[in-house]
Amino acid sequence: MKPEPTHTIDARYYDGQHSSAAPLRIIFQQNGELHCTTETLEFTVDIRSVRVSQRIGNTPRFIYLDNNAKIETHCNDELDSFLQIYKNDGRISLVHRIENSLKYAGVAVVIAAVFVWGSVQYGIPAVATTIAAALPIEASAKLGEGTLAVLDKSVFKPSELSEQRKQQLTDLFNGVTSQTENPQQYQLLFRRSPRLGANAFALPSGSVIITDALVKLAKTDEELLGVLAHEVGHVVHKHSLRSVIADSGVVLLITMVTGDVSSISSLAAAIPTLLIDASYSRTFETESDLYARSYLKSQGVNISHFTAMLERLQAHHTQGSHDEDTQSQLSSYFSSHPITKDRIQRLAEY
Amino acid sequence: MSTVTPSADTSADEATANLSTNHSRTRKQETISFNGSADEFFKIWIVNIALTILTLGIYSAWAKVRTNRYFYGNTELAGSSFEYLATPMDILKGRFVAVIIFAAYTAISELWPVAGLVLYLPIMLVIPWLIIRSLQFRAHNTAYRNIRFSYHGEYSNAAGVYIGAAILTLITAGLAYPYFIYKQYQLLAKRRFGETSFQLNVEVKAFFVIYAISSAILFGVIAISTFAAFQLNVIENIEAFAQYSLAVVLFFMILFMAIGAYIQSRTTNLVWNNLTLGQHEFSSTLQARTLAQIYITNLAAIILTCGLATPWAAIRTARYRLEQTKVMVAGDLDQFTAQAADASKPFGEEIGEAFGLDFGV
Repeated sequence: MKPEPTHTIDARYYDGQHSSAAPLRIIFQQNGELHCTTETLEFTVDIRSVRVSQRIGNTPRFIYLDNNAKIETHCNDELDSFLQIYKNDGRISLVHRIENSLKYAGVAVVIAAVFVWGSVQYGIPAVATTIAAALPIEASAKLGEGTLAVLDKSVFKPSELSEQRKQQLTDLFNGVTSQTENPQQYQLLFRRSPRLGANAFALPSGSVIITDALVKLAKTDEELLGVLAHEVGHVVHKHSLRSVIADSGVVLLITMVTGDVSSISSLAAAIPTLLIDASYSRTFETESDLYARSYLKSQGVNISHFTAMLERLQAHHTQGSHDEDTQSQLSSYFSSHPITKDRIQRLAEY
Repeated sequence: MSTVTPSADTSADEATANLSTNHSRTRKQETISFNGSADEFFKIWIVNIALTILTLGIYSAWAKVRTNRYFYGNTELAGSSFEYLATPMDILKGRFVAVIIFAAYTAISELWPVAGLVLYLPIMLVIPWLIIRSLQFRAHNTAYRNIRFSYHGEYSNAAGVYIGAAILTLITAGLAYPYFIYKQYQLLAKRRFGETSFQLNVEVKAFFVIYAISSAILFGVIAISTFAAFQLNVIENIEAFAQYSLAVVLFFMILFMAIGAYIQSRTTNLVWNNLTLGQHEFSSTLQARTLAQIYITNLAAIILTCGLATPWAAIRTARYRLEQTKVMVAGDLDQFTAQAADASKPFGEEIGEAFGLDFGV
């Protein structure tokens, strides 16, 4: 089928030398030619011999003429139907057709959502684990530099445990670390903290800090052994490093997907990063629990000691006690931990 | 955000023959209009993302070109639109080289850690070069009425800003930052439209005023809110403070966005209002409050829609910013001429673009 013989559209003509815009009238000819007239010019171009800019939304199109001149027109639909017939440009307009369809937009949303979900759930943690494994211990140690000094100034007080008790616990701890690749990396530190109550922390360098209140809360040393192994598990699995790498991965993903590095999207990235970070740290807690579990098993210690300790810790942090030493004002040990009930269940299952 | 390079021109219809007499004539105001629509751009944006994912990132070069063409093409001044001329291949080429350079650097610093440190110096020296290339790429690939823009800043200009003024800012603990920004805009303004140069006649003092006021507001609000928080015993109790942490994060986000909007609107207005192109002038009337409202509602919408409102946010931000920009046209403006060497591409410009040294003006 041939198109309407005389389809006329309005356009503008730029000669490429001057910035003047000449109103131009284009008549589509049946032989595939464009008959163009301005006030001073009249010429004919074959649509098959010139380049036409691709359609993007409803932005104006450009027709690039031989002599560096250009035609600009808003009449997208007329131009497209003409191109369809004479230039057989189906391939070029494919992207526009996809972009113009609500159905494909829906498919695209699904693809993007699946990709983001998959990256956050599997991709980023896997990459972070690989990178962290490849980095030397020093990289981990660098992360925690200065943390202890800050904590000592703000929340920690010197421990009041007897030297003998400290030695007993250090022996227990050395038992745990002797199973790791770098036993000399680890160090057990004792602190007292009214604010933090019964708590234990692992610094990326391998220092594990245990509070007096935690030591007192435990009924037996087997219970403490589980906590110590849990903290060593954090260091063995390089959780701090992985969390830093994963966080940058999330930010990178968000900027990649939203496609710009403007301040809006990086601010908008902050909140999802916080949420995703919390979910990663729950995963880390589970990993550490399993590390503790397998250590206890290897030592022939019943897992029930550890779960009993977890339950007692939870009770301690939810109720709080009036003893200055064990009172907890900030339940940090639990803030990023999975619900204790789930943890205990999981420990029993594996 | 694609922000379109300034340009001046007006309708040919009222062209008068005697150009020489229009020097002090009344100027005709031409408003820049932006015709993009959020639902149209949403589809382009989401298809770009999906195709980028499906092609393992390769399509991102096409995505970038289509996005830029969309924003440039919808920016209209006196009946003609802007055109983004870079091709996906230009962008891919630049990224390819950038990846090779980056990989080489990583490999070298991995194998000889000392070399990695020694390389900091050459890298610092290369940055101004990359910035010049990036500015050339941007300008060279922008056209209006078939006349290209171009950039004529040189390495020494960029080194003065990104080495000289940057070091000055460091050793003055940030006090010289407004001077750094001022130098940055001076560098940015070294553009031409065809054969006509832009001129930026702005005093550095004005930049110091903007930053003095915004720091005063920032520290004032922080001082007052900290005091108020202590009065309400919010901070006394650490656990309570932890509960408020999300509120605190939101408070600071909004505060920083508001201050950012203030700085951006004042700086943009300052620069446009002191910029000339031949005999033509510009005017920008951005309001800090409106811009802050746009940014804050954008952020809220983006968070609430899991990012799906991003294209809507981009469109309305571009619309506000562009439509507050006007060209004060002196007489007839059909007289810009193209540069003779217009078609030649500056060497290595794609590399600068690939390193993402983008500026929004």
